[in-house]
Amino acid sequence: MSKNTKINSTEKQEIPDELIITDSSLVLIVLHDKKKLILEQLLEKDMTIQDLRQSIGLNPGTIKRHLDDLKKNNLVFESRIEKNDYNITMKYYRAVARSFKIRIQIP
Amino acid sequence: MQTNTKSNQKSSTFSETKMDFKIAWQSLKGNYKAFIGTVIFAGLALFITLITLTSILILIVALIPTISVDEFFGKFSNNFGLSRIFRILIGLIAISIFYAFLNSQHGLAYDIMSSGEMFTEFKNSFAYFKKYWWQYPLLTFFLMIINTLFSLGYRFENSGSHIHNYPINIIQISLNIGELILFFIWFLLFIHTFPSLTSQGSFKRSYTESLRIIKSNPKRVISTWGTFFMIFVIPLITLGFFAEHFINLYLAIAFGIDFIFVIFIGFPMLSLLARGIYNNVEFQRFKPDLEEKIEGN
Repeated sequence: MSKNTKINSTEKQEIPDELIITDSSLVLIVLHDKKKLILEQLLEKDMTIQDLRQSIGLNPGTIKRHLDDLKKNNLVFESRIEKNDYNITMKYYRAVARSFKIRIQIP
Repeated sequence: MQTNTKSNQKSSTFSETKMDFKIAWQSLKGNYKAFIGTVIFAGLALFITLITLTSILILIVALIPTISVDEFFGKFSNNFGLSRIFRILIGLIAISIFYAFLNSQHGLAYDIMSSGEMFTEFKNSFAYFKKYWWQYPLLTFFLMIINTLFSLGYRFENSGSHIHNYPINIIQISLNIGELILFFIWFLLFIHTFPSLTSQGSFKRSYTESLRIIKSNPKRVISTWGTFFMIFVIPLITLGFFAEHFINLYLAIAFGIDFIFVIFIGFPMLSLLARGIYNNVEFQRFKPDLEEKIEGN
């Protein structure tokens, strides 16, 4: 049984099933190999940087930089902050939607 | 019944100490590049500062026509007092920079255990150096006050003779053990100023919190730091003492190996253990400034 203590949570926030991306600048971000990989992991559950490292094998520093980019562009958010048994603070991230669709119309 | 409670308390304190070391070791293993990089950079900074400042001093002395460089730095020079002040000053500046970088490891420990990201990078130590460039060295000088006083005492007592010329007798050994015990007590009182300063950003609060930690959790603090001293400090002091007195190649090599072990493993473990204890024990904490401001609004 987990003894983790929640110190901040936005779990009640409703996560939409779909987000349609129409902004062309966001398309490049979503299609970036590593960012896409990270985003895929965060579609169904929230994860810490260490969880992401274990599942995709990237360096935590690289993951952090991509997460910051995704956060800046409102594609990912900090879902909750918890403390574990030893009071180590753990920040969880989650995608802002359960799936992303790209729709670009020219003109 | 009473015996059982006492033994349970003992095993609980020991298991907490075991947990402190386990978490600190795991954190060090996962972030060893950042910690080792910081130690190497601190050493380089010390070396470069010493070389640069000494070169500048030599250049300035060389430009003064009435003083020759040899005479200025010579032991029997008329300017010996002045050159000594400059040499002490250069040493102080270099060691302060070294301590500031070395103790940036407390910032790295904060990144791992308190920031929420659970990892750190070497470049972050520069940010902590910039933020606490004068507080970290000052805290270190304060922590080392016992050793400095004893070291000065030995010098005055022996009129500056080299340490291996000191007699080894029961008084000398008792003095060394006394110094170690006093240093340990002083260390217990003030070691948690480092994690507290990194969390709170306040010099005054860090001393108050450090004293509160030892007051509220004496057993845990003594047990964890006692183990730390037994692994890292006592072997180094003992080897150093014998290597100085009995000039012996094997002792000198053993001392060198232990010194590297302490610098690369001991110092990172110190910052991670201090952060772990600071986070994990119950005591009356100050709220960080930012939280207070938010609540005040």
